[in-house]
Amino acid sequence: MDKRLSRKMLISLMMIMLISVLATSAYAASQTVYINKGDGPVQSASISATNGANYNGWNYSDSEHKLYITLQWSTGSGWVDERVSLMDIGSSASGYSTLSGTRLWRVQLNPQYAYSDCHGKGTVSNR
Amino acid sequence: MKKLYQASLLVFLRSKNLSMPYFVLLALTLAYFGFCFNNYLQYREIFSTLIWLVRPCIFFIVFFIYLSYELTIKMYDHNMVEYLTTYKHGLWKTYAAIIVCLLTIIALPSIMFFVFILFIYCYIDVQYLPFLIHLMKLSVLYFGLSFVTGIMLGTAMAAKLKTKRLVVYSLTVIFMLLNTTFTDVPFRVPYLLFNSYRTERMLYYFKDFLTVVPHELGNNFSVVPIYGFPMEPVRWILAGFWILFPLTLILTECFNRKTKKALMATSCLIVLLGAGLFSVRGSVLLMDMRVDSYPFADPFYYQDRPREDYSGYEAGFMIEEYKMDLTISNELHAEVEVTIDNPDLDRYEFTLYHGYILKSVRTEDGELPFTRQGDYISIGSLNGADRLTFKYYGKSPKYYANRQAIALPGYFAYYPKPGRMNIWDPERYGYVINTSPNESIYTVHIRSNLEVFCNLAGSDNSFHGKSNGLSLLAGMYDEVAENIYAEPVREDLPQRAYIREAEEILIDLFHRLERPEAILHFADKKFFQVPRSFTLNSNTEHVVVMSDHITADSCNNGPELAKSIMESILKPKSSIRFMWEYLDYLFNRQDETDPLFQNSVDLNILLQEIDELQFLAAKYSDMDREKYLNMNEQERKAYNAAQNRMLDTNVKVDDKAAKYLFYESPRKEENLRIFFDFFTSESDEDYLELVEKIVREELEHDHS
Repeated sequence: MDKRLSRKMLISLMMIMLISVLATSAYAASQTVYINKGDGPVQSASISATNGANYNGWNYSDSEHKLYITLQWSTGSGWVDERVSLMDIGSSASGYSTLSGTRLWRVQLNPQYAYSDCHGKGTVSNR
Repeated sequence: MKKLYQASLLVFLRSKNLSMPYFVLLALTLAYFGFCFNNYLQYREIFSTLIWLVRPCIFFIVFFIYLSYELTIKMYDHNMVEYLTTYKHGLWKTYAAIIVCLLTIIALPSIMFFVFILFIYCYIDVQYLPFLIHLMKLSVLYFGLSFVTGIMLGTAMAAKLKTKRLVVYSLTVIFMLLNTTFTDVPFRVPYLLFNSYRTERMLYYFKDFLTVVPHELGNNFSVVPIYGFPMEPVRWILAGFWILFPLTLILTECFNRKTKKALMATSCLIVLLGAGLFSVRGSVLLMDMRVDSYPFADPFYYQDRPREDYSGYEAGFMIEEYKMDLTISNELHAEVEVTIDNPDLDRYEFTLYHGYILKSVRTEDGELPFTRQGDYISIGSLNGADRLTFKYYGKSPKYYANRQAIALPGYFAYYPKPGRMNIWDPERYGYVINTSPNESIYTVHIRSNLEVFCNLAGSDNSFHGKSNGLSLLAGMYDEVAENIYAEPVREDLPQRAYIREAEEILIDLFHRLERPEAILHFADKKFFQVPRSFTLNSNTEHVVVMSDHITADSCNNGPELAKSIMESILKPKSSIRFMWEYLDYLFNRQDETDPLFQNSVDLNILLQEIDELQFLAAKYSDMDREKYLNMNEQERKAYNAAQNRMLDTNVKVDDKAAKYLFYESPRKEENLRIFFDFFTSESDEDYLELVEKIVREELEHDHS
């Protein structure tokens, strides 16, 4: 009985932790994602915003190819590309969207030509 | 024939492997409508709901290929063909009955989609006829003709490939994949192998020809309300082709040698006609990852070419008058006469976007020789003539002009502009706002099936007036309030009150900055809301204020519009991020919940960080790709570490410097003014030097 109870408690605790982690990540002011050599497209965790979002991206000099950074939003039914920039090796990109309404925002880093030899960073933040 | 039709229907209903999945599909469709409607109720975004509705379209088509193939193949499975050919036109009549039976089968889901779309239209209560027409066309093309294509392909494959199921289903899978974004990755392989875009272009050409669902599965780009779903004439031609071509293939199986030959010739003719019409499709909205798509064509084009900066270029002449005769069919066809103020130059340079093919340049005395180099046209002496006529045609992947919509803003070189101008700014990642230096007189006649909206006065697609840029917009677009033009289907419609509020905010701000000479009066100008997608691949087009009108991607409220207009006035120099921070403080929009606001900025640490940044920037100032590749492993590691450090420090410095200068400093108003002058000047000074100078001055001032 005790054992079962403790397992239930453990699961409940884990659920609470998971929910709080997810909630914290969604309501964080900014999220960053790194792309390393060997990675295909990567996405940051999402943030929630009502008045759009900013994004910044860097494609480090040790990348072998250009890197796309895409600012995406979702209202719960798939991700929509809002801004796309192509970052040259050793360069950065910035932008923002003023799209209003409660949405989740994230950035995606995607190496050009489906390569996996890019090293970079992308950040999405509240406006 | 009637009996054959009934028999075919009966065969379908009795075949559990056909009828059961069909009824399951109908049930799932109903459930899917519930999902889509719920999606609309939750988010109130009609195009997002419609995208959901279109997404499974290719699965329906594939299912109908399966259904039609399996129903038709029963004739061959049961060796009935020989028996049917003993009757006059027996096989043909049987095929006709099967096709009519299949049309009956697809009619039900088609009608269901049609009714659901109609219901959605009534529910959202937009009451905008062009949108209703668009939805009807969407129903016919995406949920009618594409389903018919499915049954024609299935039946044709049964007729031609008989019982070779492996081939049939392999072709079906290939067809399905070509109608999704699956191709994004494999179509890049030729570039990796041959380092050339030509093969990729050819593969996409082939894919486009096989695309029966223009908004394909997996496409993440949104549908813009001015354009709606891609339904240009070529999409209808392709739908017709994929119905007629399989039909002729089926017919070749039904008739004797002579008719068969005639039918073969007809099918070849249809292929030629289809391919011919497809090749002259003109301006088509391409929203995908290909090299010549809307989002990437221009960034690719300009990034891969050496850049010359024409920001200070003097043309030596101005254009006093434009007389334009524009025909917008599948693309733009233009005859533009320009009157120049200085006919005595030895050389004239014009800018016209490279997507427009220049056919001729002439004066009253005849044709003139010209050279074309990308976006630039060079012409020699005009021999005293002051009028030049340019004849050209073509398209831009972004600023489309076709039978479905027109989006040609006045700052884009879709007509000859004087001198050499850059089209793309790689530093800001956006299109350069190229308005004319002077106001010219425009007389414009447009032949188009659409009602065109223009910044100049006029009606029936003829306009006349004075401006420094000619903007043309059409499609699902209208005058939503007096002198305010927008997409009526969009939720966020602009209002004159917002524009007035923005003007008032800016007037107050310019007074605060003690720069009354910078005050802009725009509240009474015509306002054109441009598609949101204008900023999809460009950081420069949020708002453009021209002499007689404004274009903006949105106008949700006054403060937001004021901020965007101010941004359009400023030049970002070396740091866009710092400029945005400046704007946040200028408009009092800083986020005070940010951890940065928990402590005040330590100026000594800030100066140290600026020094470090400047040291690292100077150390690697001449770094390029070649030098990087020539470094040994250790040097590279050191460089990468320095670069990471620079990026992190740069963000910190921007945040701290902006917070101190424009928020904490006792001289913050003066600092805002200094940086306004800096951001509006032509100065090449590095913003960090200016930050450092001000911070040091303030520190010294504190010590004394």
